[in-house]
Amino acid sequence: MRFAGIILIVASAGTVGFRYARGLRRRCRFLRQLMDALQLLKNEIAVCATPLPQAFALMAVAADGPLEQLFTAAARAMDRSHWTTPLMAVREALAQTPELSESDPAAQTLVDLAARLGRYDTDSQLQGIDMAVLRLTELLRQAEIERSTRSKTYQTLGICAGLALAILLL
Amino acid sequence: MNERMEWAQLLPDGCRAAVVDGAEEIRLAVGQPVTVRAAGTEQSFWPALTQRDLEDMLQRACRHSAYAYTDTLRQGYVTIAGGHRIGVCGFGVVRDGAVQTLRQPTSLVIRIARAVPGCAEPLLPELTDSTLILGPPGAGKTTLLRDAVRLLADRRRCRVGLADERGELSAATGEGPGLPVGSRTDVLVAVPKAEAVMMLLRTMGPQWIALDEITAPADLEALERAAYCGVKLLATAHGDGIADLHRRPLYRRLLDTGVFTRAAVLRPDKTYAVHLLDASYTKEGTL
Repeated sequence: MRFAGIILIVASAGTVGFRYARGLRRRCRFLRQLMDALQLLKNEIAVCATPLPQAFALMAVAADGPLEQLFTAAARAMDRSHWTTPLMAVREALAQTPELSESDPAAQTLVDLAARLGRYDTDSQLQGIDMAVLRLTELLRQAEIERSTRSKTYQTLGICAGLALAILLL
Repeated sequence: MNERMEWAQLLPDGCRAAVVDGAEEIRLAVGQPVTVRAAGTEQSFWPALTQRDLEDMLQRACRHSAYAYTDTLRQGYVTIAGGHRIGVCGFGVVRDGAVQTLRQPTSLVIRIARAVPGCAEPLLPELTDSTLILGPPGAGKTTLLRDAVRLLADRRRCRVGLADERGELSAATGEGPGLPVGSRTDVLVAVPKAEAVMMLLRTMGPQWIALDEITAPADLEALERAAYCGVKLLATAHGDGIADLHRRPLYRRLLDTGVFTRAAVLRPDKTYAVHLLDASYTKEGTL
């Protein structure tokens, strides 16, 4: 009985540590997906001149998780009303995506980009996308450093904390 | 709101009264009220519009993706869902002598696309050879052409290639044509007419090729080539009557080539008469 209790405590604390580590991995994956999505948007604008509602829908198909949800909501918002600008659509979509808050630097980059989208001049929009990708590259670099330095720490810390708690309770 | 009324969503706030049943044309200009033409009468709706109203409206028409419409904007129009065409006047942006786009719209005109199924019934028996539909602006050339294409495809079971450069004949989207153009009609949208005729000819094996508004020598050359391949043609052109064909150099060349053997001449009262281009034969019809 006592042994089972120890295992439960160590496993629970370890899970918390592993969850933090997985969060760091997810963050890196999310940023990479967002950069891919923006690359897709750039091609759709430059090569196919795809209108934004359709481009957002295509970005949703190419992504998964919160990004799929975000771009689907943005595409729907623009499809629903002619009065919805790209900026309004992205803000509305962010509000519908609980995993992403507008204060997140990546989401803020997306909002800044949305304010530039839809103009007559294609070149300025492509430059805007390049700038956003550049900013996301920097965020990804930071996230990868954080993952490589802290991922193992969180996992070990979780297990150790579990063991310490078990010893204290014995 | 369905695609037929999509244009109503574009109107500025305070102009919703201008959404009139059976509207054919809506004119909007800076400092002027909205003018709606329906059933041959005109109505004006105040307040006067500002430049910002028109700018915002054009953005809405472009689905806030103006870059996607630069090709048509530089020709002075945007086609919206439902096949409705918005003509744009404003300030041209010219680079290296060529118009790049239009900015600061000062007036817009929405021409409502509508199908009138059956209006080409009297024309159908005459469609035994290449036919030109002639008429002044607003007479209903596009409406007649659309229905003639539908009848050729559905009633005569012909394969028809439709060169729909401006997208207003078929109102086609990724989900297919929004207006009835027949079940055996292949629609090529947003490709310049001359190029579209050759593409249809090469790839789709049409028996008939239809296109709206012959305006350039390149269109004539493509039509000639298609005619030599044994394809029958159905096209529209601006003009008040057969005499116009003789007066204007482009159309005179059209007559000289003998590509078209008959012409349906539309009158402002929406009636039309079919003439053989080399004889005095005439048959009447109504849109």
